[in-house]
Parts: sequence; C-alpha cells; structure tokens
Amino acid sequence: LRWLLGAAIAFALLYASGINRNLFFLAFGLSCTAVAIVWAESALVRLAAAIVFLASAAVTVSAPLPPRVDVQAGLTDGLRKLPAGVPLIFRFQLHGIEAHRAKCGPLEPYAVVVGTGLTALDVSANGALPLGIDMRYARDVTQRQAAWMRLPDDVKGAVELKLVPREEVALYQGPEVAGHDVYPDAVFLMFENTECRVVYHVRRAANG
Amino acid sequence: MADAATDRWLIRALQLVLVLLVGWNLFAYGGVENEQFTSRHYFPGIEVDYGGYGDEYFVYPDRLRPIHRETEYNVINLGALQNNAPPPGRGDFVAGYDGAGRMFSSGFLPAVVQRLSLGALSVHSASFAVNVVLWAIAALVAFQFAARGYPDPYARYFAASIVVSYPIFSLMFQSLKMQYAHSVLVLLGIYLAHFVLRRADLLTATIAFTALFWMGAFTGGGFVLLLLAVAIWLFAGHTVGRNTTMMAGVSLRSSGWVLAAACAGFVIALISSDYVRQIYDLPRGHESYSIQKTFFIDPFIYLKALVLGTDRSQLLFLGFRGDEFFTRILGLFAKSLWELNPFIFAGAIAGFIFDRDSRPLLLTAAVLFIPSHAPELLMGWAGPWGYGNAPSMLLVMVAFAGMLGRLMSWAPADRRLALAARAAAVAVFACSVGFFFYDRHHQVDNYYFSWDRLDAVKHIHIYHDAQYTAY
Repeated sequence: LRWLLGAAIAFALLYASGINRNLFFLAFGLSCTAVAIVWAESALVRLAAAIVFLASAAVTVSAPLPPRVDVQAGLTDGLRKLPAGVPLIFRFQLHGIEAHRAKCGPLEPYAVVVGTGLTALDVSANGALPLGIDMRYARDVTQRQAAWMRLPDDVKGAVELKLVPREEVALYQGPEVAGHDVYPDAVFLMFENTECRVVYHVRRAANG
Repeated sequence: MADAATDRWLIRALQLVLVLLVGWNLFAYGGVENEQFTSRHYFPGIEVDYGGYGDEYFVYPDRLRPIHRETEYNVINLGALQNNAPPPGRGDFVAGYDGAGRMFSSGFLPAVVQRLSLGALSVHSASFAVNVVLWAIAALVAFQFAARGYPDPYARYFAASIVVSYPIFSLMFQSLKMQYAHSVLVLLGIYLAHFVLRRADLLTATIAFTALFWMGAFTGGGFVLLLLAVAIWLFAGHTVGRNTTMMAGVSLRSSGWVLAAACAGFVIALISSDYVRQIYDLPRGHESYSIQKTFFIDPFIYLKALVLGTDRSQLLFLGFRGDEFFTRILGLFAKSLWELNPFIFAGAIAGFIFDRDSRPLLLTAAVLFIPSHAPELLMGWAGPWGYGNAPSMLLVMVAFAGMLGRLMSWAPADRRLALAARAAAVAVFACSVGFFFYDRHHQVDNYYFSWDRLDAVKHIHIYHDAQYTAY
C-alpha cells in the first residue's frame, strides 16, 4: 500500500508542478505503475516499474509522425481520370516466370485494371487483344470495378500493356509501394492457379 | 538420484526450448504487417481492394510504408499522448473505434516507448515494441500462473513456450492497429486476483482492480471482459475447482472480498474514466452498434419468442438473424479454435474430463468464449475472427500446460508407465507448438475473417519491377 500511495503522490506532483498536464497520460501511467507494483515480487522491480512510468511522464517528446503522402489527394474515391484517346502504356518484365511455372504448374495470366468505366477501355497486350474480359465489382459502396483480362497462357519475357480510353475512364490510385518506389496506378499482371499467385507491378511508361 | 538428475536434465531442456522459441518468434515474424497484407489485392475475392485499404503512406528514410486506413485513429491517438500538455481543444483526443477503445494499447503504450526513447523511435518501431512487450508479458504471466497453480516443475515451461508460440501475438508484431492488450489484461487480472490480491488488504485490492479496469476501459471493452472473467473464475474455483491444488487453502470469504474489491474497482474506474472522457470529450460508443441492444434487448426478445414458440426468423440473437447464431456463427467460432490448434483444443477437452486441476481455468475460458467475440457480434461479422479467441485461448493454454505437467510428473509404481506418460506429454507439447509453425498462412487466415485468402493461395510472389518478395 505504501508503494501505491507513493506512486499516486508522485503522479499528483507531476500534475501539480505543471510538468505534465496531460491527464489522460498520467491516469494511464498511474494505472500501469499500480498494476506493476502489485504484480512485482521484489522491491527492485517495483522501483524499476515506477521509474519507467514516472520518467516517461516527466519528459515530453516531439516525435512527429513521418511525412505522409496522399496519393489520392484531390481525387474522388481515389479515382484519377484518364483523358479519352491518350494511350497509357505499362511495360512488364516477367522476371522468373518460367521458374514459377516450373514450380507451381501452369499459371493463368491476367492483366488487371482497377477503376471505373473500364468497358470504354481498349486494351492490347503485346499488340493483341485479350482473350477475354471478366468484370468484377467492389463489395463496398464505391463504383470501383476490376477488369480481369485473360492473356495467352504461354506469355513470357515481357508484356507491353496498352490502355486507350475511348471515353472517360478512371484508374484507381493506391499506395502500392516497394522501398522508396510508388506504384500509383492499380494496373498489374497476375499469374495464378490454386497453388500460386505471381504478381507484377510496374509504373506507367514515361510515354504512356 | 537418477530421477532427480533426469528431472534437472528435462527442465534444462525445456528452458532451452523456451529460449529457442522466443528467438525464433522474434526472428521469423518480423517484417510483414499482416493486417495490411491480408487486405491487399493478392487474394481471391478482394481483387478490387487495391493497396490494402490504404490511400496514403508514411515516408521513412529507408522506405515508404502504406497506411492502413483502419490505423488512422491509432496514429492520431498516439499524437495526443506524446505531449505533456493536454491537447488544445476538447475532442482533440481521437474519436472512433468504439469510443477510443484502443487508446491504452495503441496510444498510451507506444507513447511511453517514444518518450523513453526521447523521440528517437518512430510510430512503427514503438508499436512493434509494444506488441513484443505484450507478448512477453503474456508469456511471463502464463509462466507464473502455471508455476503457482500447478505443483510440478514442468507446467510453467510448457505454458510459457506455448504462449510464446501463439501466433496471434507474433503475427501482429508489425501491426499499428491491433494490440492484444485486452487478452493479456484478462490473464493478468485473473492471476493477480487469485494469487496476489486475495492475500492483500481490501484497499490495496481495490486500488489494483481500479488500475486494471482503468487500463481496460480503453482496450476495446477489456474491462467488462475482465470483470466477467474474475466473477466466472471465482465461481469456477468454488464449484468445479474445489479440492484442486490451485484452490488449496482458499476460503469462500477471501473470494467474497476479491469480488467486492473487483466490483468497487470497476465502479471507481468507470466513474473516473467517464470523468476523463467528459473532460476530453471522448465518445462513449460508436453509432454503428449498440451494446444494450445486441447483448440484452435482442436476446431477451429472441428468448421470449423461443419460449412462446412464435416466429424468430426476423429477430436478432447476439447480432445475427433468426437461429443463425446457433446454426452457423457458433460453429465458425468453434472451428476457428480448432483450426488454431487441434492439439490444444482436444487436449483441453481431455483435461476437463480427466484433470481436476485444469477445470476452473477451462470453465472460465469456455464461459468467456462468446463474450470475447463481442466485437464480431456487435458488428454482425460472420467469420472465424480468430483474435476473438485470444482471452479464452490464453487460459486454455495455461490449463493445457498444467495437464502436460501433471503427465510429466506422474509417478506410478510401474516405471514404464511413467516413461510413457512423459513421452506422451513431450510429444503432445511438440505437436501443439509445432502446429503453430506448421502453416503460418493458415494462421493468418484464421485471424482475419476468412479461410479462403491465404489458404486458397499457398505461395504468393510479388515483383515490383525487378524487386522480388515472397510470402
């Protein structure tokens, strides 16, 4: 009980002296100290716990959150409009695809585009039309859809995906990142079967 | 003499296993933020959720980190607790997440880490540290619980090793959103109530309970679960737990005082935390659910219809229409427990039947099982949601370890029988821990809503240009 009262007095002093006026922090700190005092089986541990929480309450830190970048800033529902008639090109290098096929078995290749108005998009992969297009819809209230475009089974090496909007189309923008690289457009290649999924992300080509 | 030497050897071996498991978990589960990973577009059925429910990223010197939309509140929580000055205006502490329900674990604890590091640690590093500390505390309390609750020298190492391997903690090491403070709180609360506060004076016990409930008031409803846990534990101790080692020398009177202190602490914590909520204009709930409706009003109406034999198809019971809770949801929750670890699940059932000492903990765990799934019931989310098992599962693990310890220390006249019992205990322990590591993808799936994501795709290979990552 002496320890508990001592902790309460110490936290009260922190508040009264103006060192810490954050009532929420102090209340949490005192709670943790009290539980640690009761839980601890030696005076040394009790003292250490009290010091940890009191010390943390005595200092104030300026640890601002890291800078944030909003890739959807200024967009509605994260959708970036594409001007009609202007082609968009994505050049994928299919690194290791043969090794993945050897390990996983035959993989069905798809080019996937996420956005809205995707039926107004002319798509070609390596100059050829996709073998088929499956339109999938979001579960939430957004109008977002995903166009899954089947590519030839034996595709390898590289895929140049060309998207040409006939009329207004919008691409979804998401924080797909790797290291310091951002891949803002929701356009990717997916090779899949029940065993494996192999996903390729690239950024749109400079002339795209 | 030989037996004593064997015991020492076995205990050293178990200590070594524990150390290895601690090291392996820290090594093996680093780096992947499963909370975000499982909501990305790499899985069947969620292909349109590009980027993992994220629209922003943090810029760190070494990398960019996408911000999961659901961690937003926690990030703001942390900011409000970094400074010694109160936030400038009422309501500047965060709103959201069931009345700032995770403020203790996602705001205060990372803020302590950041303050002690004098601001050197980032929000991600601080959250990682908090998750590791919670994991370590859970293992430590499990160790102490087994050490004081079971007389043999083995149960404590089994308990700590199993809890250390419980992937619900380690899978979450990187998470900003979820910290399992409420699960640890329940385990710690029962331990303190039984082994420490029972012997303390009423004032000390009341202060300690007040502190526990204060922390729990901001851990997603953990304080209600803790009060329930203490009450059930006391009931279990004096019913199925009579004549057990754990209850030796425990009087009904001392349990009465513990309950009185717990209730007093609950009321004091409720009033004082509500006062602080008012000062900072914190919300008391969330408009998307109602605790009274889900847990009291709806069940009452449903049960009345059940008794009267009238139509129940449009009524709600614990958040689900008609009889769905019984016909589907309960099965999902139970399956989640089984999928988590069939060895522990089956062992616990065997323990309840054959091992008297395991019964009070197992009964408490069983009764807590449904209330600990409260978030899913309140929101009407039908799925396994394995994290809802955690408060019960930690108790089950300690009981299971106690049973293994009893097997290890069983000394029948026939030495071959004793040897067989030890071998069985070690084998079951190895299987139960090994299962946690056997299929990590399955464990991730078991915690996050669905068994058809990672389970449906065993190997995921991602290329960002030439940069390759395998999951």
